[in-house]
Amino acid sequence: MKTLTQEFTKGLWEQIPPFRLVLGLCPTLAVTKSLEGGWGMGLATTFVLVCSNLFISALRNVIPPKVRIATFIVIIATFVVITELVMKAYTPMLSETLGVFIPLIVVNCIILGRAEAFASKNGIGRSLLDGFGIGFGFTLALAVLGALRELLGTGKLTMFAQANLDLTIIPLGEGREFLFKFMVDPPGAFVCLGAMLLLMNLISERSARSKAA
Amino acid sequence: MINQRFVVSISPHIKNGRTVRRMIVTTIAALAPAALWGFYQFGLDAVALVAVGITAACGTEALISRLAGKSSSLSDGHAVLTGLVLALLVPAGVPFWLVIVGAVMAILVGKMPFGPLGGAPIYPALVGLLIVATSWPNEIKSYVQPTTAPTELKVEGAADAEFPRDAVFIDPSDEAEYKTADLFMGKQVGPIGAISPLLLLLGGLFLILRRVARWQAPFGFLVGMGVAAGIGHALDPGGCASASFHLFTGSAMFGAFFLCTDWSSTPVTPWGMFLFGLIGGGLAVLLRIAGLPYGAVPWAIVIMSLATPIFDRITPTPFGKVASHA
Repeated sequence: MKTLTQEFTKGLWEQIPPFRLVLGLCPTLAVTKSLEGGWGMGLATTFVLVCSNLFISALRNVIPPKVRIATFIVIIATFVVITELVMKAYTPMLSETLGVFIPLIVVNCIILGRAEAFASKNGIGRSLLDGFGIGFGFTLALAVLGALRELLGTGKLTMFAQANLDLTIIPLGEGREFLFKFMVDPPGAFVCLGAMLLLMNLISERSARSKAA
Repeated sequence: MINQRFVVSISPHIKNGRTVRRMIVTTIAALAPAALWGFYQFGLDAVALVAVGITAACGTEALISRLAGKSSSLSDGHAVLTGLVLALLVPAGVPFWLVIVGAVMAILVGKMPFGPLGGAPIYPALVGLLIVATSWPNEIKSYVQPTTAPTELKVEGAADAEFPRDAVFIDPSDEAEYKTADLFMGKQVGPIGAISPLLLLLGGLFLILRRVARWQAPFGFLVGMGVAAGIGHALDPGGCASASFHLFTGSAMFGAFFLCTDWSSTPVTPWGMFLFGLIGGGLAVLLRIAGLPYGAVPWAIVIMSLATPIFDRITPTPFGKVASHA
C-alpha cells in the first residue's frame, strides 16, 4: 500500500499519463500546438478528474457493478458540461482554442481509467490525491509538450492569450524564417511525443541502472 | 520428420550472394549520371548541397548509433544514399541549413526509430524532404536557372516563376514554350538531380538490369502518370498539361525509378509493385492538378508507402496450390 504522498506523486513521474500510462493521447496530440492549449487542457481535465474521482469514490458502494461504466460516464459528463460552460463564460479565447476537445474530455480514457481502476476501489481521500496527482502530471506533460512545439514552430510562448501574455523567444524579422513549422503541424506532435517518450525511458533506465549498481 | 528451419526476415529478400552494401553502391552509381548533370547545370552550389546532405546524414546516423550503443551501420552506405537522394530532390538555390535539417530529420525520424536498415515504412529521404518542405514552403522552391536552357525560361525570384517544377502546373498554356525534347534532355528547371529524364531513365534501366530494382513499380508509376495525365489533358487541355509534360518534369522520373523501388517501403509481390506504381502515378498527377503547393510526386509515393502492407497481401498463387486440403 502506497503512502498518501505517494498516491499524489506517482502521477507526476511514475504514472504520468501521456508518457507512462500512454492514455489520453488524442488531446495530447491535438491541443499542444501552444503552451496555453497545453496547460488549459491539462487543468480542465484535472478539474473533471478530481471531481469525478471524488464522486465515484463516494458512491462506489452504491453504484451497481453491472451499470458502473454508464454511471461513471454520467458523473464525468456532468463535470465536463460544468467545465465547458464555465470556460465559455470566463475564458472564451482559451475555450475557442481547445474547441471540441473540451466536450471530448468525457471520453478521455485517463478519467474513465482512473474511475475504473482506482476511484471505484479506494477511499475518498486517496481518490482525491490520485486525481490531483494524475491531473497535474497530465497538465505538466501537456504544457511541456505545448511549450516545446510552440517554441520550435513559432518562436513564441503563449501563456494566456486573453490577457496578451505571450513571450517572443525568437524574434522574427524579414528573411529570418528559421522556424520549424513542422512542429506545430499534426505530424510534429507525433515526433515530439515520441522524443519525450524516448527521453523518459532513457532517464528511468539510467536511474534504474544506477540504483541497481 | 524433416527438421524444417525457417528464417523470418524483412525485405530485401532476393539473395544471390551480393551484399546490401553492393546494392546500395549500385543505386548510387545509377544516380551518378543524373547527379553529375545536375552539377553541370547548377554549378558548385549543387555540389556543395549534395556534400552537405551526405555529411549531415552520415553524421546523424553515426551519432545516433553511438548514443544508442549499437554498432555503427554507416558502412552499408544507406546513410550516404539517403543524404544523396535528399540533396538531389531539392533545388540548387536552397540554403544549406535546410538540407542539413532535412538530412537530420530523414535519419532521426525516418530511419533510425525503425531499425538500422530495411524497417522504414516510408523512404527516409522523403520524410526529411517533406518535413523541410512543410516547414519552409518558400525556401524549398528556390529554383535556379540552369546553365543550358532554352532562353525563354525566365527564372526570377522563386515561387512565382512559371516554369516546370514539381508543383501545381499553374498554367498549362505555358507548355507551348517548352519543347518536349529539351525537357527530356534535361534542359529545364527543377530539383538538382531530377531534371534529366534521359539520364534517370538510363540509370533506372541499369538498376533493373543489375536486378537491384524490379521493373514493375517504375513501369506502373509511369503508366499511371501517363494515363492519368492523358485523360486529364483530353478532358480539359486548359487545366492539365499533356502526359509527356507531366512525365518529363519535376521529380516524376526520379520517383519512378529511385523512390518506387525502395526495398523496405514498397510492396514485394509483382502485382503489388505494379499496382503500387500505377495508383501512385495517378495520385501524383491528381495532386499536381488539384493543387499541392509542392512535391506532388514525393507526397504520392509517401501516401502509397503507407498502403504498402495492403499491397503486400496481393500474393501470387503458390505453385501447386489446390483448392482445399479436404
